[in-house]
Amino acid sequence: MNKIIIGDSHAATLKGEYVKNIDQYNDHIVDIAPIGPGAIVRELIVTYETGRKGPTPLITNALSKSANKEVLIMLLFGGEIYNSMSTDTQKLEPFDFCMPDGAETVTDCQYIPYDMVYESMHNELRQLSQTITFIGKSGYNNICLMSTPPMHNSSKILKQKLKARYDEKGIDYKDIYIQSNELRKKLWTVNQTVIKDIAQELEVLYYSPPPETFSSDGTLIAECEHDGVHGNRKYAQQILKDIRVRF
Amino acid sequence: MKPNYKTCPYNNFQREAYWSKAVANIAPNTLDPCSHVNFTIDAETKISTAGSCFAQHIARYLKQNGFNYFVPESAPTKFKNEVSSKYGFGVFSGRFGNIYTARQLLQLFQRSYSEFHPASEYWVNENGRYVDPFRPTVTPNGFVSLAELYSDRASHFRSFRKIIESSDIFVFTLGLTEAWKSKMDGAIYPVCPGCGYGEFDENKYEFINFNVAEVVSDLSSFIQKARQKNERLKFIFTVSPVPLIATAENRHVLSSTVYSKSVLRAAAQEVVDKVADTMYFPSYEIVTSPSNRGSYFADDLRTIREEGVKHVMTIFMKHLANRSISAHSNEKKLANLEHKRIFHHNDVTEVLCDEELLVLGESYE
Repeated sequence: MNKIIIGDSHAATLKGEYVKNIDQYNDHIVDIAPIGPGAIVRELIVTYETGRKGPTPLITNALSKSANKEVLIMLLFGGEIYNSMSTDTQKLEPFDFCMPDGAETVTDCQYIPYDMVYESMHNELRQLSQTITFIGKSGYNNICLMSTPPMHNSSKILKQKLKARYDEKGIDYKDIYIQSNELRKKLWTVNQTVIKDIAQELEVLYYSPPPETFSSDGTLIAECEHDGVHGNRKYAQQILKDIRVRF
Repeated sequence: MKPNYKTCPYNNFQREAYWSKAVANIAPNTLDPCSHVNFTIDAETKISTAGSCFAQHIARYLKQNGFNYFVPESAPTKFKNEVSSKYGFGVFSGRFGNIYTARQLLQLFQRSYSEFHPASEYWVNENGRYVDPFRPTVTPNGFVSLAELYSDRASHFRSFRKIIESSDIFVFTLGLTEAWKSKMDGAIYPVCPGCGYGEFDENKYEFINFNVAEVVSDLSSFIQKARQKNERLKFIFTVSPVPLIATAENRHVLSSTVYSKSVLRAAAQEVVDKVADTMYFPSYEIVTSPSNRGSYFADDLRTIREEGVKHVMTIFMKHLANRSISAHSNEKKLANLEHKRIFHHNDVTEVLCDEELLVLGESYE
């Protein structure tokens, strides 16, 4: 099945590989449209001057790449809440929560109910329903929500990498706050659960990255990791090959 | 012969001592039954609140008026308020849920300092999730595991200890005398087991309606224990003007309401009369005074209209903070209300009350 991938900065990772080796992928990828980094789920639907609400033109442009409505529209959005709870340039208060299958008690900090973490992420990502409704109304009935990769498993290395990334962009951030490895891993797991659940609620497909991109602790293997937050070219290759087989 | 009043002691009493001058013949919104205060607050005073539903209004005004409202059990700022308040964050200084009775408050202290370990540690709801019997509404769907319940409880106890040990003033709004307790160890529940959470079993639970002596004893014990941890801690007690939503006594709910409020009012007075650095603030009197002819109650005759809350807090600020409340505190700030769990529509600011669980069952019958 042909595919159009629309997403945040993680889609840009895939786009980089796609553009470089388009001949390898154009048998099943019609287009990859990274439409912006970070907090964009709530910005996918915009209000036009007429007062009408609709999807951002970036989505309609991406859809226009295929006249064939049988194409699979893959949405790749990780959500702002997961990112900003995990790392930020503003001070992050320490907190912790228990996973449903975990028997551990948490550390000496503010405890947050699992449901509250889940609900916060769910409220954000559930906003994708408007976008999915629009895509459906446009005649595209094959839709899939994609999982995003986890951040680097070492907070220390993640900090170094993020600092380098900001330096590259000429952005001066004095401090980057990063939650513990364990907490970030839990936040990512909840986020993936939410994406999966929303796919089920909205009756669309769900895609999770192939197991070979993950190490035993559930984080990206070093060879697939780029800047602490995104996958690299190898990761993109794995994903693009995997979705050829899966869909 | 004319009656002789020359030596009548009432001749020299202040204006506020006379019903006609202090209640009947004044503009209702000028009623001020707060005769004196034992201490004052300023922007630096660290104030904590707990208690029944009405305590949420006090918390709201303290925050809106720039006071140092102490909330050690708070959600990280990354969580939106409409979600975090649903889980009990920011409603009071800690995620207590409602603390309706003095015994419940005392037992919270005892549990937080490992002086009391109730036998009923958890209930299991219909979905197989775990419920904290002492705070059933702070995690509405229950905890995902026992580990989560214990972690949450430990965090809550830590925060309560911070409230006790770091606050300058603890404001407690007494709400009820009726409660349900464990027959095994006397543990008091905020809501009757079986009413929304848990399962009622007459072999395990029994009704109790505290009398004045019991409330005085519980409050006094709480003060004494708290001051062992923080000797500078001062206390303000108020009585909630909100009537009982239902009574478990075999009598009319109005009679039970009058009994409860009378006991609480008398007990609060007895405590403040004998314990230094405590005071009573007359929220109850302001709202229920005949001078406002019931106008501070909404149509359900229980919910307090915003106008009534504003009157209470105007008097509170005038005497305790020597200032008026912010002119925009109600109108503008309510629009951006921190706690979306507190809903504001028309002239009523609704607060969430665990007690409402007692009658929610009516709609399922």
